[in-house]
Formats: sequence, C-alpha cells, structure tokens
Amino acid sequence: MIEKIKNISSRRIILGTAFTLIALFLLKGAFGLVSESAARKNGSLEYKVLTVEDMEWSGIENRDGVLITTDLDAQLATREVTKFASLKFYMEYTIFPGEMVVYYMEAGDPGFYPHKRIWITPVQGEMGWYTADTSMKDVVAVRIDPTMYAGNQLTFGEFIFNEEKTAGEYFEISYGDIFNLVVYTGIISSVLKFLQEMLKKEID
Amino acid sequence: MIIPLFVLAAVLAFAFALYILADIRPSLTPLVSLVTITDIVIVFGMFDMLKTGTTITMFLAVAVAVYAVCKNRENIKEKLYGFLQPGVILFVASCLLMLAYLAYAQPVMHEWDEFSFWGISQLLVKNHDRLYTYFTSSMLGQSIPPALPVLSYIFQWCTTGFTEWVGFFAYDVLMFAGFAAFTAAYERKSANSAIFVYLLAFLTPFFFAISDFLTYMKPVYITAYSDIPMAIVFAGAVAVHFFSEKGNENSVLPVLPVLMFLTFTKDMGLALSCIALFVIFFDMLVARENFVFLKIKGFFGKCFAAFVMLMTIGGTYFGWGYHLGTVLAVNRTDYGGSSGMGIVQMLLTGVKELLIGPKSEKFLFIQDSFFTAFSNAKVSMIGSGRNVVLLILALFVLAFVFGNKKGRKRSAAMLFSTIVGFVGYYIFHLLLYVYILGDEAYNLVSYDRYMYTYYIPWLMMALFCLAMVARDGAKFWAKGAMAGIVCCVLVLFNFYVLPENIFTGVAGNSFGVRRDIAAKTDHIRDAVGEEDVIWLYSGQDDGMRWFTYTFELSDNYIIPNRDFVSAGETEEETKQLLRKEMYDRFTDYGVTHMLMDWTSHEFCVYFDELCDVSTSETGNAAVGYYKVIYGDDSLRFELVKGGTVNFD
Repeated sequence: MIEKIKNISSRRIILGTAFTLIALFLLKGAFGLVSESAARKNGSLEYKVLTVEDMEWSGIENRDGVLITTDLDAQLATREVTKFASLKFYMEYTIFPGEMVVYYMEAGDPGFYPHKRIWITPVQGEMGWYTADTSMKDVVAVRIDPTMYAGNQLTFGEFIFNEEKTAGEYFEISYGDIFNLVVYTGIISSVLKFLQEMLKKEID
Repeated sequence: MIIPLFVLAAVLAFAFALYILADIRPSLTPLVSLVTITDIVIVFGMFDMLKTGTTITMFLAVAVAVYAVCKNRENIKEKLYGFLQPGVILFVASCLLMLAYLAYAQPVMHEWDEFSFWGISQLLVKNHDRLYTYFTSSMLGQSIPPALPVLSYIFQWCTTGFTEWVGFFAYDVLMFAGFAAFTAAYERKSANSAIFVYLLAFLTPFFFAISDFLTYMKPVYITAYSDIPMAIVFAGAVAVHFFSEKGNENSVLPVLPVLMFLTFTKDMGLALSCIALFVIFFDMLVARENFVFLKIKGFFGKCFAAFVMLMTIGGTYFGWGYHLGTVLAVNRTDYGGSSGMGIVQMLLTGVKELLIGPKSEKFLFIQDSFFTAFSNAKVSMIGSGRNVVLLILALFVLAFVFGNKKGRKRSAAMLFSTIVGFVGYYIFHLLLYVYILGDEAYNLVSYDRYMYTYYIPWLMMALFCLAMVARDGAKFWAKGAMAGIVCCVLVLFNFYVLPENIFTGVAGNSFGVRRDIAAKTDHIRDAVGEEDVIWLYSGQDDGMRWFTYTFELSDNYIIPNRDFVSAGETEEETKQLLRKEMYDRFTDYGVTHMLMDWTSHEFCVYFDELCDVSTSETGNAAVGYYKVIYGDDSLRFELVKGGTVNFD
C-alpha cells in the first residue's frame, strides 16, 4: 500500500484532486436541490409575497404617498421569513441606487453581519426587477438595503421570497467557483505531493 | 482579445530568446522580457514615436526570438523543455485564465484615482498615440513617469479605441511575471514548492489591501492603481539578482531593465529603486564569491556593478526630468506641496529637524501619530504594521535556522539591508506627510496604501530566503513551513474575503456608478461639441462623479461644481447673490454648457427659474445638457439635449 502511494505520479495527484473537488461541487448542488425541494414539500420553505407596507423601514419616509430615503443607509427589514433561499423584487428610482445588498440574520446573531450578505443584481431583460440568490438558510430576519443615497424616491412592487428554482440553477458554476477550484487544486495537490515526498524521505 | 494575446505571445517569445541567448533562469525571463520591451517603448515615446516605436519593438522582440530559435534548431526541443519551468507555466496559465475572465466580465474602472491619473492617462495615451507630455488635457499629474500607462498601451497598441480591461490585463501580466520570478529557485521536480511561493505571492496583495470586512469590492487585480504593481516590480528586481546562479554579468545586467522600469513607474519608484540597489549590493558583498563583472573581479567588480545600476536609475530619473524640461518646461525635482520645497531640500531640512530640531507644531503632531500608527493602524489581515514586521522577522528567522551556511549568510544580509531600507522608507514618508501634503496629512491619508507598498515586497523577500533554504538547506522544515504559511493565509483569506470582494463574482452594481455615467454621456454625446467648456452639476457628489465625467468626456474641460457661499438676509437676496456668484464663476471659466447630472433641492430653489426645462425633469435618473446664454449680469440655460436614461 505504502509502496503504491509512493509511486503515484504528480499528474495523477493533480487530476485526482481536481476531480474530487468537482465531485464535491456537484454533491453540494445535489444536496441543495434535495434539501430545498424537501423543505418546500413539508412547507418550511415557503413561497411568499410581501409588499413594502409589510416591512419595517429605517431611513425611509412616506411623504404624501411618495417613499423617499432620508439618509445614506436606507433599510427595509422583515421577520416574516424563516427560511430564505431567494428574493426577487420590483423597484423604480429617481437616483441611480448604487450598490444594493440583502443581509440575513441567523438564529443567535446579535445583528446583521457584513459576512452574511448577498448582492442584489438586476434581472437581465426584465426592467426594474432585481434578484438575490443563495443556498437555503434558516433566518430570523432579512434586511434589504435598496440604495446608497439619500433623497432617492423609490417605488416598490412585489417582494417575492423563495421563488422555485429549476434543477439546473443548483448546479450553476460561477467564476468564484472556478477560481476556488483552480486555487484549491493547486494547494491541495501540492500539499499531498509534499506528504508523498515525506513518505519517500526525498524532499525535492 | 486577439491583440493582448499576441502581445503576450511576443513577450513570451522574447523571454524564450533571453533564456537561450543570455542564459537567464527561465522563471525570471517573463519579467525581464516584459520590462525590457516596455522600457524601449517608453524611450521611443519620449521622442514622440510611441506607435511606430511599439511596432518596431514588437517586431524586434519577435525577430530576436526567431533568430534564437534558428540558431538552436538542432536542440530546440531540449531548450523548450528546459524553458518550461514551473514559474513559466504558472505565469502562462494564470495570464490565460485572467484574460478569459476579463474578456468575459468586461470590468471598468471605478475607483477615485483611476480617474485622476492612473486610468485616464491610459485612455489619453491610447487615444492620442502619444505620451501625455505632448498634449494638454484636464488630466492632473503630467509629470508622473509613464511606465504603467505605456505598459497598458503596448497591450492594445494597434486596436481601435481604448479598452479598460486590457489595461487591467497588462498590469496583471506584469504582476504575474513578478510572481513567476519569485519562484525561480525551483526546477520542475520541485513544482509543488513553486506553487506554494506563487500562491503566497498571489494572495499577499489581498492580505494587505483588505484589512477589514468590506462592504465594497476591493479589486486588487482589476485596478489601475500603481502601488501594488510597483511593489511587485520592486521585489522582482531583487529576485532577478537573488536567484541568478552565477556571480557575473548574468546576475547584474537583467536587473537593469527592471530598475529602469521601477524608476519609470512613479516618483516613489526612485526611492524603491535605490532601496533595491542597496539590498542587491549587500547581497553581492556577502554571498557572491568569485564575482566577475565585465572582467573586473572581486570587491571592485561588485562596486562597479552597483555603480552601473546606480547610473541606470539616475539616468532614468534625470532622463525623464530632462524630457519634462524640454517638452513641458517644468522642473521635475520641484516637489512643491504645502511648503514648496524641492526633494533634496526636503530631505536635508527634514532629517535635520527630525534629529536636532526645532520642530514645528505640524511636525510634532504628525511625527507622533505617524509613529503610533505603526502599532495601531490596521494595515493587514493580521493587524498593524508591527504584527506584519513580526511575521516577516519570523520568516527570516525560519530561513536562518533551517539554512545551510550560505543560506544563513544571505538571509542575515537580506534582513539587515531590508530593515535599513524600511527605516529609510518610513522616515521618507514622515517627511512627505510633514512637508508635501497639506491639511490631509493630519489624519495620515492613504497611510496603509503607502505602507503596504513596502510590506508586500518585504514579505516577498523574506519568502525568497525561505524558498532558497527549502531548496538548499533543511528542506523538510523549510518546505513544511512554506506549506503551513500558505494554508494559514488561505484560511485567513476565506475568513476575511467574501467571493464578491475578490475579482471573481463581481456584482454588476460595483461598476454601476460608472455604467450609469457612461449611459448618461452616451445619451448626450452627439450634442457635445469639441470646444465646449462644461460645468457639471451633481447634487450629492463627493468628486467621484466629476472624475468619472472627466474620464468619459476626456476631450472637453469639465468644471466641477463647488459650493456657492453667498448668503443674504432674505431668501430673495440670497437668490440674487447666488446668481451673481454663479455668473462670475461662469465668466471666469468661460463656461459654455451646463451638464445636469443630479439636481438638488438648493438648485431647484435658486436656479431652476433660469432653465427653460426644469432640472427636476432632467436631473436624477435622467440627464440634461444645457447651453449657457449670457445676458448682462445674468444667465439663462437652454436645454440642448436631455432625457431619461436607463442602463440596467
């Protein structure tokens, strides 16, 4: 056994690492697919539509029926969602909103964290619709930061939580995934090679 | 995408030729090749032959490669096999990945100084096909040396129009070439050690640039800022000497183009070049036995080598100064700043006041906060500068403990010379804050950015010693230490960096401000005449939007909106005074048009009546381009073109 390990070639170490990581990635996608559809079946992951009146506002004022942001950190928060997998909403603005973010708070968190954050991106081809996607999470609150600027007049439509995804969406590969795949293949295979060198007592 | 790829191929071909003809270690050749090509193009550019110069240089680089291949036709296979060391392979692979990513994501510039100099200079050089000393524009900093804008130019010299991501790609190629040089200790059989070094080098800029959990993207490899590339080239200059096998011309001559490039990068590049020279000279003194340089042996040979390097640095510096003097008629040594001193005068007065006194109040205040910042200000993922220095010392100690005799000598020498360099660098920056910067010096503006320009290469130099020891000394421990450090940094990296904050997975909205403004300028572009002098009104702007407009409308003068100060006793009086103030300011600048980007409450109250179309209709998610009609002591604005703009 040990003799066999000593003789594995570098190329096989690298390929083996890469394939293992790809397999893990697919496993993660499959896990997301299975767990989310299970949660959807037993009703804990709900499709939910909220309006802006259902949310708690901060930094936003209603001036004669017009919603206007009063500071640089306008927020909309809700505690009506317990499992969070995606958000899609409609918004119109008068000032280009800048970076838009969703924060989620999990049980036990004292507040919203920069690490628990998802970017909101415009939906291609659907004017005014924005979306944020993630893997399913148990949350106690979700917060939307719709604009970076004060004095922005916002008009909201529906906030759709946890819309159903297609099976393919669970296996979508992003550039971040490719980056991780390359970097981790490099580092893990190098460490494995080093361990092999230690076994052989021949450090190169 | 084809042109950058072709330029990359030419750089590699020339690198291959350097390996065959000049016997430079393969992993060092990409860096030497790239900086040599850029240096030559800069010199052509200084004689106003940028485009022809680039064509000639590219042709020459390929011709040399063809000559080298023809000369070694018989054993070309072995040569190629010898050339493909881990550093070269990692370099090529990361360049291609980056090229594919950038071409797909099409990132744009979106940070402050990209619009004040580093980005807009690339745009102007490309659009004019000349160095920016040969034409006037609203760009600041014409006297800054041109290495990075020219580097960006080379990668798109024969395309139509300027592409921003190609500029990022050019920077990345430079940095990856530097990383490849750092791995030069290793041959193919130790490829995994090379990966440790390369990856650590790749992650180090993030390690310093991201010292906090970020709300905004930090695009280390997608930026036109010069600090990190300059830091990498600085370490690269040392690496090119440090990893050359023999103590002869081969360990000196390839350093020269790198030093030249470094001095051409930025004014601070001169200081870094001098420190690099000092580190290299010290390493030569300690470590190089049987040294011969151009037939001069031993100590004198080393001194002569150092002299040649010094001449290169000085020649570059004064060459650019002479160029500025003849073309622009400005004096480069005149730093100016808040006290209006030249650089030599600043150093002399500064050192005297630091050691003997008397110190001004500003000096004392800044000195105090500057020295406490060393242990207080967070500059990296592991905290303050003190922690970083401790980490670097730890690496040197590891290298010393596990080294063989020569390795210990070189590590100790490197440690000593880099500490001296750091002290010099730190004091130099203290003086810069005291004498050159104005009021912003009191809160040590950009302290972290100035400091990691030294910490990054310093950490890399400690890594060189460890890498050398992992090859020659107690391999097991040194290599184990490298693997451990890489893993630790990777863990830290995952702790600090969300995928969005590195260059992958960039959300569209990070570039949103840029795209918003690009959409607005595109909407009015055909209405903007060449001679228009444009006054920009942008409500909540902190200067960023103005900078971005100067980039988008780079052929016109864009006058930023500064706050009006007049105030009267009644609303009506204030209105009249403000209109008078606006009139005076407009006639001073010779403003012909007004660009309404964002309107504001104040503007609507005081000036809206002057416009034929209300700015509340052309202000926010829309754009308005007005012609200014001058009357006696009064102004009117006539809408030329405007409308709603959507870019999502």
